[in-house]
Amino acid sequence: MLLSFRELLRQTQLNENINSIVNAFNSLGFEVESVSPFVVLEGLKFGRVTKTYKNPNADNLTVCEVAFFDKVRVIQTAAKNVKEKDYVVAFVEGAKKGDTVFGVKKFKGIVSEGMLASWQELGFNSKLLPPKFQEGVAILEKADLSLDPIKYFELDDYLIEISVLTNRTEANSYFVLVEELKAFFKLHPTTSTNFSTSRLPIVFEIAAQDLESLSKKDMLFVAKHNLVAKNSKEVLMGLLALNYGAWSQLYDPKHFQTTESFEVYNAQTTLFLDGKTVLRSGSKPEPEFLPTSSTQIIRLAIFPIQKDVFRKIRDEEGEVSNTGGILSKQTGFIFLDVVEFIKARFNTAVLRVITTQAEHFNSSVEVNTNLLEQYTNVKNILTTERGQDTLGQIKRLGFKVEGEKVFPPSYRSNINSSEEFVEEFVRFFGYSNLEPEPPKITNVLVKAQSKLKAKLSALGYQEFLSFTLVRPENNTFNPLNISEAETLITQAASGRQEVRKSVFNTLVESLNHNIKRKFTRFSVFDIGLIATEKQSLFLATSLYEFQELKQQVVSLFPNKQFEFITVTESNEFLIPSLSVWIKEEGKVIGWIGSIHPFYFEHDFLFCELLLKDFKDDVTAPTSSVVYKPYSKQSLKHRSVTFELQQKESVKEYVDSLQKHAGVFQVFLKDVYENHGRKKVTLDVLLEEGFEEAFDEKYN
Amino acid sequence: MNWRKKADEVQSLEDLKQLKNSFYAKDSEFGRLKRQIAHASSLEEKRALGQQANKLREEAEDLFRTLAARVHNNSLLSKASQRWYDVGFPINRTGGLHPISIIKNRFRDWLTQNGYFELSSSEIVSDEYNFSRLNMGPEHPARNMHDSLYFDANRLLRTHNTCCSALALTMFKNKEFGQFSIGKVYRNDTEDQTHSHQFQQVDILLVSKDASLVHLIWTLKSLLSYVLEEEVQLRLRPSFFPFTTPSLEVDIFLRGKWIEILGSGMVHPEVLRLAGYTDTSYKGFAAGIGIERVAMVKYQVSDLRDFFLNDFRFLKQFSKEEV
Repeated sequence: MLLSFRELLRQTQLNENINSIVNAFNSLGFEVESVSPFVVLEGLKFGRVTKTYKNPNADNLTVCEVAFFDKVRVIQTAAKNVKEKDYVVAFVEGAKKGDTVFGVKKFKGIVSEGMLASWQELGFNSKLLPPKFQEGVAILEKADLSLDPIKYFELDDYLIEISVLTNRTEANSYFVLVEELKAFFKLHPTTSTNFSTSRLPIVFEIAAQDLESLSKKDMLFVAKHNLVAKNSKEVLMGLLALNYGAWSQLYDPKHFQTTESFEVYNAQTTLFLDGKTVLRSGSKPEPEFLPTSSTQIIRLAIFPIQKDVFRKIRDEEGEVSNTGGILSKQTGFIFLDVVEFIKARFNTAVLRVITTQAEHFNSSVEVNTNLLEQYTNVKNILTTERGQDTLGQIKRLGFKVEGEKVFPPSYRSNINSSEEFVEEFVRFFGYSNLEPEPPKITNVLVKAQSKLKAKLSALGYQEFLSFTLVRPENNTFNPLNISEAETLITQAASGRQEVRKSVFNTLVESLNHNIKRKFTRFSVFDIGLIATEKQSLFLATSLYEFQELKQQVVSLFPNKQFEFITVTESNEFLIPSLSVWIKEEGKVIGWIGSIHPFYFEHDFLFCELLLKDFKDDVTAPTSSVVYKPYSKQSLKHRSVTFELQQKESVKEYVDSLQKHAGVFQVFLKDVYENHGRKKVTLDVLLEEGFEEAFDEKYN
Repeated sequence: MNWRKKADEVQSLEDLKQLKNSFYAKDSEFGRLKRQIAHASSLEEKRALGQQANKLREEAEDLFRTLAARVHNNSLLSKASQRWYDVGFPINRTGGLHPISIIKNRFRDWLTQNGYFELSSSEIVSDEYNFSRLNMGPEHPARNMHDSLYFDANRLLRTHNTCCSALALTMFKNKEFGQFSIGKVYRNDTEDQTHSHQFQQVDILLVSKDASLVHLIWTLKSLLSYVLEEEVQLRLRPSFFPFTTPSLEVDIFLRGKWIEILGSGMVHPEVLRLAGYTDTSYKGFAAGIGIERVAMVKYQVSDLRDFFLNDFRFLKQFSKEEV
């Protein structure tokens, strides 16, 4: 929501600086998103033109003698609209506009002691100015020369942008925010609203097509001053939808049902629609604005209403209340915030506008003192000086405290429980006044932390972070043969509509990013979700050989009994002679190898391995290791040599040897290739006592 | 030459062998003594010569052993000196964790050492755990199909890790415990400097009968100070989350300004009730912290997209961090 600092000060009658107001909003839970000055001006003066004549040395310069409160100055201007007896605004010597400092200068032989200001130079956007105000300097019919124009027109205003919490939609209004600030600063509630009246002699104009180009600062003016909406509905809807203008917010009518209740409070400013006055501060809406169309959605006219002059309106049959016919469910659209609506706590069969005078919701919540003391760790908090102060502040907001019951103001639909009252209390008590203390914690489960990433890092793998979702056209690499893609029914703003079938499908973006930048020698890993709804470990390396990679995979998971099966069939994703499936308990859970060049043409090796699911995630780690006695005698060496075909794997022979009784370990000792065949020698380490049986079989 | 003098020239086993031969040769000192023993005139002379010969032989054998050891050592030294490897060849530091993991690990360290356990769950969750059990009714804007990434009416990519807290509450209902979850969460956003459809969160939850706001504030201050490696100053602002009341937005003061860092609050009684807590004396506090946000603040990274680009020049900057 956008707010005028000056308007807040006027309505609260506070005398605080901008930092103090910002701090108050933040403390109250209305986060200040930004604060920007309307315009940075200094040293302006009102003046009255007493004499004008042409500069004899320049055709386009008019010499003006201008009477200021302190003295008469000679100021030259190129503007054509200045005449004697006009009131003007001038930058005199020493005045500043941003970084520019005005001084006394000689133009065409005559000294000029400043510059007459145009409306644009005072900070107003030309797009908002009616044509006659766009040319020349700012001319006023009357001005008090003793006043400061900056203060008079409130050019020293700040635009404050705050976030209003979703449970406090009623705070999208000056009415509530003014009361919040007054409670914060411990002032008494407002008894009558001091509506602002623009002192500018301009009725601003705006067209729908200009909305997008206006700055927030411009919109501050729209909010504060008189506005003519050239394109009527479209302009206003645009303003409101953009949340520009402190009083503006558009509600989508479809959110409103006639079975719900609303409160209306606070309206101020003057607005025109279709060139007609729709509302003026302190007056009833003009009869012309009464709804006439017969569309299905509800139209509520913008109308002035002061918080102590609330009106009750019934619309059950398009009929309106005794205070002015402005509401009908047969009409076009709803503008809110000039008239602020909130969804009230009770559903009724009528759409109505309720005054705080007319109806109080007789709803209360319990003051749970124990809860208040526990949450704040302050004994007898309500009787402490600060506690009493806080209660006073809450009462200023309209809360009534009767014994152990609190009656929130009718528009505070977010206060429904003791906890929510505690929240309201501590908001004013101040979180910074609570003394932090360590909690006691009951340890119900001790779990081991996964060291997988640290191990991979130690092996020289850099961790990458890739997206889970992928565009369907890029979700083609699918070695694990995942039959159906997990597809979002939500239209993804990122365009990534499917869960990847392999980490590769999104990690490849980062691989290519680095390779294109000439960085080609690396090892990386990523762990993330794939379409099996399992986490997948993915490795990519241009540094390690196949056997090294395989060894690493085995070493990373010491408690797994992986089986490696050579990819022999024709496979469109992996190169069969360079890849293996990883199986566990007969099921393929991953692969190691080379990706078909159709998907990736660089010389890398990859591994993808499905990790555990999370079904057993609340169990503490268990161990299955039980000590067995072992021989301390020296192991025995045996060499075993096999003759194999050139592309025949030694795997079968090694597997067979490893199953033999007494074999402790098998190493590859030597490979000798000759004429398409190869002799492979394996070095076998045997436990003592198994030599005879082994030799009988192999030597 | 005297065999003792020859000993100085022994360099190899062959030299030693020749020295031994010369010592035991017939015309050597020892050989002459043996001949004199054989021709001794009396038993006393024989004994005296025998003692002399034994002494000489012992002296010689001692020397031979010393020389053998010297020759062996020289041989080892010679072999070793012939080996060479370019031990000065530089090493490329290639491995490392992603900065997001480094930050996650710091959260893990503090939380596990302070008695919290980690709970993981699938990133695809039910609407019930992501919303309903967290007091987010059907009208809540986040339940809008446009804002959250749904696979069907009931399954979606989790929008926060608070769904793990809902799971933990159900698993340990009517118990006191501390739990946390760290992982990826998803929203229907487009990528820009500060937004991504995928990011990571740590959610912490403590349930006990005396849980309070002062415990929450202490926890956040200690936790954030550890993760950011400096004593942080907190500013707490009232906020609104359907699953907590009171709800708090927490800012930290860093490098001269306040930075919004996390959302937190006391667990809403309705959330405890929905999880199956029947004893209303249980209270809890919870907090949800964006990992990327913390990483950006700690390392002063200005563009969120750098975390997903995985450029080595970016990632290597974090290689000195403890993994």
